[in-house]
Amino acid sequence: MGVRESLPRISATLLALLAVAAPLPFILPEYMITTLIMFFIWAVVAQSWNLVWGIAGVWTLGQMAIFAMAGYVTGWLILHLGLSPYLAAVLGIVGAVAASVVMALPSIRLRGVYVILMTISFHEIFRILLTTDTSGFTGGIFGLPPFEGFVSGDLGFGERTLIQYYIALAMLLVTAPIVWCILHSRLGLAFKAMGQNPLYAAARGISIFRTQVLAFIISGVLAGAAGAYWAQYFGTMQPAVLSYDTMVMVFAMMVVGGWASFSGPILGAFIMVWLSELLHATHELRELLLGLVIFVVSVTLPDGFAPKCARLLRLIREKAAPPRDAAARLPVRDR
Amino acid sequence: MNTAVSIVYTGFVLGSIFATSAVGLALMYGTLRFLNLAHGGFLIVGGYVAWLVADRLGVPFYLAMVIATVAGAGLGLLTYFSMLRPLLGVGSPRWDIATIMASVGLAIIIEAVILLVFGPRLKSLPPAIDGKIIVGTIVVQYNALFIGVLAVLILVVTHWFLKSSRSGIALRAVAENVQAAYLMGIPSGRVFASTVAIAGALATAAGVLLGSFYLLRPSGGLDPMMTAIVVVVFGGLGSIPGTIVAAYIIGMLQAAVSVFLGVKWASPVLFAFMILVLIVRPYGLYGRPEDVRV
Repeated sequence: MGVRESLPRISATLLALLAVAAPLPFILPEYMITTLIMFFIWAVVAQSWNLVWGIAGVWTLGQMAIFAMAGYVTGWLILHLGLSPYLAAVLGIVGAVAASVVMALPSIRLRGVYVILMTISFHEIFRILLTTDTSGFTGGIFGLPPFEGFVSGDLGFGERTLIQYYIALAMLLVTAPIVWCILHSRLGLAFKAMGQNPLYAAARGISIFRTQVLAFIISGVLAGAAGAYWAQYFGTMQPAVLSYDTMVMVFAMMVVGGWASFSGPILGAFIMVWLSELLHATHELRELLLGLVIFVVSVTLPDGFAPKCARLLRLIREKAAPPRDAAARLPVRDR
Repeated sequence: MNTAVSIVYTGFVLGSIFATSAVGLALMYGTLRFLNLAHGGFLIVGGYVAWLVADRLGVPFYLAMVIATVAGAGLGLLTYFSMLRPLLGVGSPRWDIATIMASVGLAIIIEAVILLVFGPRLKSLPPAIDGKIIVGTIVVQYNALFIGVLAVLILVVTHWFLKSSRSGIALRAVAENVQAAYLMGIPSGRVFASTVAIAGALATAAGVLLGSFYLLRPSGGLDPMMTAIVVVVFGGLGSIPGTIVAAYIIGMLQAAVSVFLGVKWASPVLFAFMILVLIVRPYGLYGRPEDVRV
C-alpha cells in the first residue's frame, strides 16, 4: 500500500486517536496523566530506536545518549545563554542529530555486535564526561539546576500538567504518522532491505552509506524531540537518563512491543510504562517481577506483542466482514 | 623506572581481572553467538555463594570455590533449558535480539533475588592467597598474581578444549551449522547444554576470584561485565587468544592512563581507544574479516 492511497486512513486514525486522547486529562486522575506523558515520550524514543535497530538492522545502543544530548543542549542553552525555550529545543534537536551522525559514520563498516560495542563506547564516554565534570557546566552527577521550560512556573501544577500533556500528545501524533509514511516509502524499503540483507541491498544499488546516515538522522530528530521535551517537562536534566536501568527499560519497550514493526515500539512503551507504574505497589518485588516479565516475553514471543495483536485484529475484522476473494479467506498464517 | 614498573604491575593486575571477567562470556559468545548480558549476574552469584559457604558456614576457600562452580553449572543449565532451548532455531537477528533481551531479564531477576536474600549491605570475601612482597616502592599481592595466572590458565585450557578435543570440535561444528552437525550424528542439544553449563561454571568461578578483590554488592556484576564485553568483542568474536591479549592490552592502557592523565580519564580513554580500534580493525584483534564485513 502506497503512502498516498492510505492518507485518508491515516487521517481518520489520527482524528479518532485525538478524539480519545484529548478529553482524557479531564476524566482521569492526575497521576495517570503524568504516566501518559511518560508513555508519549518513551513511545517516541522507542520508535526512533526501532527505526535504526529494528528496521535498518544497525544495532545501536547509543539512542539514550542522543536523547540525553538533546536534553542537555536544551538545558545548557536556557541556563548559560538564556535562550527562549523554543529556540533551545530546536537547537537541542540539532545537537541530537549531530550526535547521531557522529555515531553513524564510524559504524557504517561494522555489523551486529560490533555496532553495539561502538555505540556503547560513545554512550559511556558521554556519560562519564558528564558525571565527572566538576566545572559546573554539566552539573555532574546532580544534573543541571532547575530552569523554566515551555510552560511558565507561575501557573499551578494542574494547569502546567494539562499543557504539558497536550504538547507531548502532539509530539507523538506528529512523529508517528511521519515514521509510518517513511516506512511505506522508497526510503523505508531501502531501510528494510539494508536491515534484512545489506550485501544484497548494496548489490541492488542501495547506497549503504546514504541509507544508514539517513536512518540515524531521522532517528536522531525523533529522539532529540523527545529529549528536548523531557528537559522542558522536568525543568532539569539528570544523568540518570544515561543509566543502565533506563537503557534497559527503553530497549525492553522496543523488544516487548515488537521490534521491526511500526506499532511495536508504541505498544511496548504503553505496556512497559503502565507495568512499571503498577508494579510500584509491589515494593521490593518490583524488580523481580519486571525481570520475569521481560524474560518470559522475550523467550515466548521473540517477535514481541505487535504481530500477535495485528493477527488478532485481522481475524476480528474478517469475522465482521468476510473478504470476497478466495485467497483472502485462507487462514492468516498461510498467506 | 619506578613508574614503568608500577604501570606494568597495575596493568597486569587489571588485565588479569579483565581476563577473569571475560571467562565464560567468551565461551558462550564464541560458541552459541549468545551475548550473555546476565554474565554480571553469574559473576555475582559466584561471589555470594562463596561468601555464604565460606563466611557463614566456615568452609575453606577452595571448597567454597568448588561449590560456587557447581552452583554456576546449575545456573547455566537452568538458563539453557528455560531460555536458550526454546529459542534455538529462530534465525539470526531474532536469536540475537531475543537472547540479549531475555538475558537482560535474567540479570534483573538474579540481582533482585540476591537483594531479597542477602540484603543491600556490602560483603567481603577473604583473598584466595594471603601475603605480599614489596618490590621497590610497589606492593605485589600474591592474590593478584594468583588470579592472573589462574585466569590465563582457564582461558588456555578452554582454547585447547575448543580447538583440539573431540567435544570441542563437536561444539564448534554445532555452533557453525546445527543441521549439518545433526546429520553428522552430533547430539547438538547435549553439546549446547554442556557448553552453557561449563560457561556458567567458569563465570561463577571467576566471580569468586573477583569477589576476593572487590566488595560484593547485588549490582556489582555490571562493571566487570561491561569490561568483559569490551574485552571479548575487542579480542575478536569470541576468539580465546584474542580475549587474553585484549584483556592485557586494555589493562596496560588503563594503568598508563591512570598514571599519566588521572583515574578520571581511564574509562573515557579506553572507550575512545575502542572506537579507534573498531574504525581501523572492524572485526576485532583476532576476528575473521568475512564474519562482519558488509
